Amino acid sequence: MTGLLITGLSRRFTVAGRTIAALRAVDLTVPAGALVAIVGHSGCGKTTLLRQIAGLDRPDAGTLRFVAADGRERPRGRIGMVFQEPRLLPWKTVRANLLLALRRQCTGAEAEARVTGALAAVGLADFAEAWPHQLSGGMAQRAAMARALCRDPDILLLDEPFGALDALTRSRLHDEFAALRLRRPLTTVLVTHDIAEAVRLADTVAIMADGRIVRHEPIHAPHPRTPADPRLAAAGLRITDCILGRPSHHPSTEHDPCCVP
Amino acid sequence: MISRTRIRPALRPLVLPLALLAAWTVASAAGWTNAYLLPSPAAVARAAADLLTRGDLAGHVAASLARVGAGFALTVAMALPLAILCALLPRLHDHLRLVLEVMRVTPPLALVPLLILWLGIGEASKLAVVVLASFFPVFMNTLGGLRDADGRLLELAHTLDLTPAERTLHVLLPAALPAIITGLRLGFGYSWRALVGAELIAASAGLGYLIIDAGEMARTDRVFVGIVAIAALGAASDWLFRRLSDRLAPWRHGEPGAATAQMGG
Repeated sequence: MTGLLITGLSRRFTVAGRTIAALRAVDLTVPAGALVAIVGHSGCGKTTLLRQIAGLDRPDAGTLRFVAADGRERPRGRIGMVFQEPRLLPWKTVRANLLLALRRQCTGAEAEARVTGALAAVGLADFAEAWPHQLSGGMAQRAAMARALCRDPDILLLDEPFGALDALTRSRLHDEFAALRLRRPLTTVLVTHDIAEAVRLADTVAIMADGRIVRHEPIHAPHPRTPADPRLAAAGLRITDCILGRPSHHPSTEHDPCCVP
Repeated sequence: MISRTRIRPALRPLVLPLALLAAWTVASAAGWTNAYLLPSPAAVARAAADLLTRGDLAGHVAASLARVGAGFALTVAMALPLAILCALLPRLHDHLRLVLEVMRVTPPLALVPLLILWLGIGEASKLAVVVLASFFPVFMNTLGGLRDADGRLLELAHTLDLTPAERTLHVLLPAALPAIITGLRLGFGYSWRALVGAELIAASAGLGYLIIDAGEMARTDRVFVGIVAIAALGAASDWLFRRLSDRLAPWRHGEPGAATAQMGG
């Protein structure tokens, strides 16, 4: 399994003549097999950070290393990415969309088998031959998840993957995703603005503000978790307080580092 | 209760042409028009039947279609690869831009005298006119379609580690396909018009020649036959391209404003 070690990652953008620091020397460790959720206001840099990990953008400074379980550095791993919207190619069936994602890895019967397995895992076994426009929003997003998972990624990157869905569908996909990770731990970075989602799914929640990670909040609750778990509710309130910059009345059992940047 | 007859939407485009045809028939029959300047529909039909039975019309149509077919094939063989290259290599396009721009705004018919001097009065000069007329709609629409391809899908292609060739084949070209077909449709229409113009100037066969020859012989009825044949073939090719678009890019169904045409000629 692969972990992720980010040190001093910086990225500036020039927008209309003004320079904006989207990432300011970000340090982040994602242990192999762990799920780290990144939360924060819109514009805090969380999507920029995810795009850096995905290789869609290059940093101005800092390093981004993939490390094996024994701590040794390894070449850039295989990425499985789920975007905010499904991004299925409309001219390909669901099956063909997944096969394209496997193209660099395998072909023929092996690829077919992996596609079938991935679709079954997200409950879309009967929709392999469907066209993307025939799927509902939830189904399309599941297909996108299957596309990321069938690649057997070293790192799974999720950019608000459930954000555009209705609350019921979102809740069901949370359950399904948590169950999936119980069966098969996958190093995952989840960007979300939904704090309930973050504490529900993550091992650690990293809070970002103004291009920095200002706090790490470990979530100590065993899986499978229920949304009603009081430990999750308390963690969620602490995170909300931190993001909003107000003193927290929901102390964790551990020593809390100050969250002021 | 008064029942109002409503015209079915599919038949609506036919109302005006039929009304015009009726007015033309009535005006001719009543003797309001000069039969030499505007022959009656019946006279035009007789001339068409005459030309059809003698095989003249078919010969002229075949001559024109062969020229458009060959010229358009040449255009597609040049414009499509060049547009793909320009989309993938912006620097190449920067070098070509000015020359292409100048050629684009020059009407191909303005070049006919030069083309005849350079290429002779035979088929080559007419093929050149067809190519010049159809090149830019095909090139511009293909390039525009490739450039406007959804950047989000290209990002996806990047995360899937696709090679440039795979990205072009599976993402870029399908994304541009509706625009490409629009370009082909426009280009075909343009080449058809330009060809008839070229045949008016110098040819011994073809629908343009049929018209200019009949005009010189004062056979207005045959002039009309030529015009109707040109219009009918133009409309038929347009319809074929629309069908092709529905066939090849069915995912565009129901998407409003899917293809924005760039005239380019």
